[in-house]
Amino acid sequence: MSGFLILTLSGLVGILGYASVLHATIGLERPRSVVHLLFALWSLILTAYVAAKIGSYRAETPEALVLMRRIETSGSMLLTAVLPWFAAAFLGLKNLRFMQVAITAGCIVVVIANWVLPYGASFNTQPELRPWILPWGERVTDIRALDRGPWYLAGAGLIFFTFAWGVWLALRTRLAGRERRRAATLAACLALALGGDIGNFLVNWGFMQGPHTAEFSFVALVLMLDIELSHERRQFRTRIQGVLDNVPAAVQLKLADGRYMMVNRAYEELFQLTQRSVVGKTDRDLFPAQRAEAARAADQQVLRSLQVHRSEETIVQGGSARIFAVLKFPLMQPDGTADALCCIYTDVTHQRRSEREMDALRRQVWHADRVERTAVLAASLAHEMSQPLTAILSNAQAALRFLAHEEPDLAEVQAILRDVVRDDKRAADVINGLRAMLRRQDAPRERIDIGLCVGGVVDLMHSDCVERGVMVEHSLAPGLIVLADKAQIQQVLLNLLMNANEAMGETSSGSRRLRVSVSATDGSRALVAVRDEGPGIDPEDLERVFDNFYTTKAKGLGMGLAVCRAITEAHGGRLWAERNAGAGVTFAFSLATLPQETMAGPAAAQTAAV
Amino acid sequence: MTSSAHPLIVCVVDDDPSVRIGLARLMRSAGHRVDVYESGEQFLQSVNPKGTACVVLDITMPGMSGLQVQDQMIARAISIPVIALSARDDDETRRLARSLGTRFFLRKPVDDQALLDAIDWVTRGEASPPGAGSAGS
Repeated sequence: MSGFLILTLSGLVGILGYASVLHATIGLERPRSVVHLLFALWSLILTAYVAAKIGSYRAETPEALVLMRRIETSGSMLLTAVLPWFAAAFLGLKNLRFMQVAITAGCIVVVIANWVLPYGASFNTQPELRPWILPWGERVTDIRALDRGPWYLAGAGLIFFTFAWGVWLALRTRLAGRERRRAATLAACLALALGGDIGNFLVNWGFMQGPHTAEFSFVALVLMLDIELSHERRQFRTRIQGVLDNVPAAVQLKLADGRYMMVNRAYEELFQLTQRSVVGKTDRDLFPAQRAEAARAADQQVLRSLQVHRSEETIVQGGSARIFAVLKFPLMQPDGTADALCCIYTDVTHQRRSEREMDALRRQVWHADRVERTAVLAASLAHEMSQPLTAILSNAQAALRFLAHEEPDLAEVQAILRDVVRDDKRAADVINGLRAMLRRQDAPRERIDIGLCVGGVVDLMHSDCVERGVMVEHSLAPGLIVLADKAQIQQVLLNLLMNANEAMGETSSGSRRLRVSVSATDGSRALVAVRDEGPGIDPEDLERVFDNFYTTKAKGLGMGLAVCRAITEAHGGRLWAERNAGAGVTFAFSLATLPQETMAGPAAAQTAAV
Repeated sequence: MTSSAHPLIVCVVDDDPSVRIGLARLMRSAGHRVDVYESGEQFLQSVNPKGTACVVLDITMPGMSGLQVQDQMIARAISIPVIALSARDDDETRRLARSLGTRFFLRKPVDDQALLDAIDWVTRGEASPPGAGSAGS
């Protein structure tokens, strides 16, 4: 059993040194932890203390003994000095500044005295080297401070007081309900240390036989605190699981080789499995081959490219098919590689359904607006129809009269019939235009000549303009082809032209001019502009007019301009309003033009027709 | 009914080319001489009241409307009988036209017999014929 004490103490030095390095490393991680750094300091001081203790036990000269004891005493005083700072950080206490400074100052004074005194604080006179037989037969140098000086008592008293104060502080914090676990642990640790200290006291005064006990209780203190701090670090994982379990999306964490690390509760419910049954397994173990292969491929893509991957998946849950937005992303290491990946499933069924409903609603509103516009146009359309019909009737009746002449002029009759056919087509165009405007479904986009399309609407509005005494000037550049839904573009133009006509209703009859233009801008877009000379719009309202339900009229929904803007935006353009330099407002929008193709004769007329 | 060629000219004023041509043809097929005008301004500028039997006048025209033409005719003391044609047929317009001296008010599309009868009445210089002059087709 010889050497038992020394061996044990050597082991303790190892443990304390390791604890110091460990907690220093942890304390230096971001965010920096003051508690861990102070704890590392404490362990370091203790390492030196116990090492010096070994030195004392093995001292072979009085000088060596004195030196070792000096180091020991410095260690125990520094230990005591750090305690108030550690306690404050560990328990989150704020106003201990006075005690911290007082205790630290007291310790420093004792340390200085320790190194100044001829034999250190422990010895008044040079100690004799006496052997000391420990109860189990081990033979060490007698290190007991049997010849105690006043500084020794001062130091011991300070240590005693500080540790006792620490216990009281921890208990008070615990009773106040703050940091309950930490406070309890610290109280126990410091009480233990105090016990060890008292043990030293008893040994030094000869009341107890055996080696000093302080170092053992100090090590116990370190171990307990180490366990407490580690426990708190492990708690972090539990906390994260707790957070994830309350996240509505299904979350899955996998290692790079495909093995499951962690899933949350939502994932368990979605795929009907438990975390326990899944951790450590791969997709191949859990899902059908096809699905597992697809998942694996997507995972590897994500890990290779280090990019976030988004997709959608339909999963049957509780008997109904639901749509999920799937987000896969790599979990990065500091060195830039990915060693794990995360997959999040979010239920977007409601959103998709809402989008579809919104789409249907939008179509309804656009259609309603189109019907409203067309209804307002009805009187003008009737007028437009009556012109060709008048011409046809007069022509046909004239033809009958010519044929009743004694020598009918057949050439004239032929000319008449040709005109009848032409006028009939004119009437048919009006009807077809009306039909298109009233159509419900969205038509596929087609190539249209925007100039001709706008011109067609201007023609439709002809009668309305005439009745209101509005003079229409148009400048429609030919040959500008855009990809558009013709009825929708016509709807926009109808809205703008009707608004312009109504705006100029109050203007003096001489200056009701409506200018409609289609022109090419910068080679790749066609600009359509409708300019009136009405009372205009206030500058602050120039954007507001496009709001839903904005109207200055007694009737009507006020959806017109909002719908127009939505239509132009759906076509890749934008509708805006600007005040004219003179009177009135110009509404304009631009559409991307397509390069002209050479098209063969009649087909060209068909597709580019109004 | 066909009638022998009249010495006097019938004027047709309408902004729509197809309508102009159709009405002119109708007049010619009935043996009338026709002058066509595409606007009220043109008519007022070029008309020769002495040689004109009557004017078939469209009411709804851009620029100067039919009613404004009649106004001008009164102002310039051009006294030619007016037969008004309109796609729009409402009491207000009729009343206005009447007050400006319209002899007949016909609705488009116009029946040939009704128009030719109206021209005959007016050319013979008689006052409003028995029965309202508002025959339409």
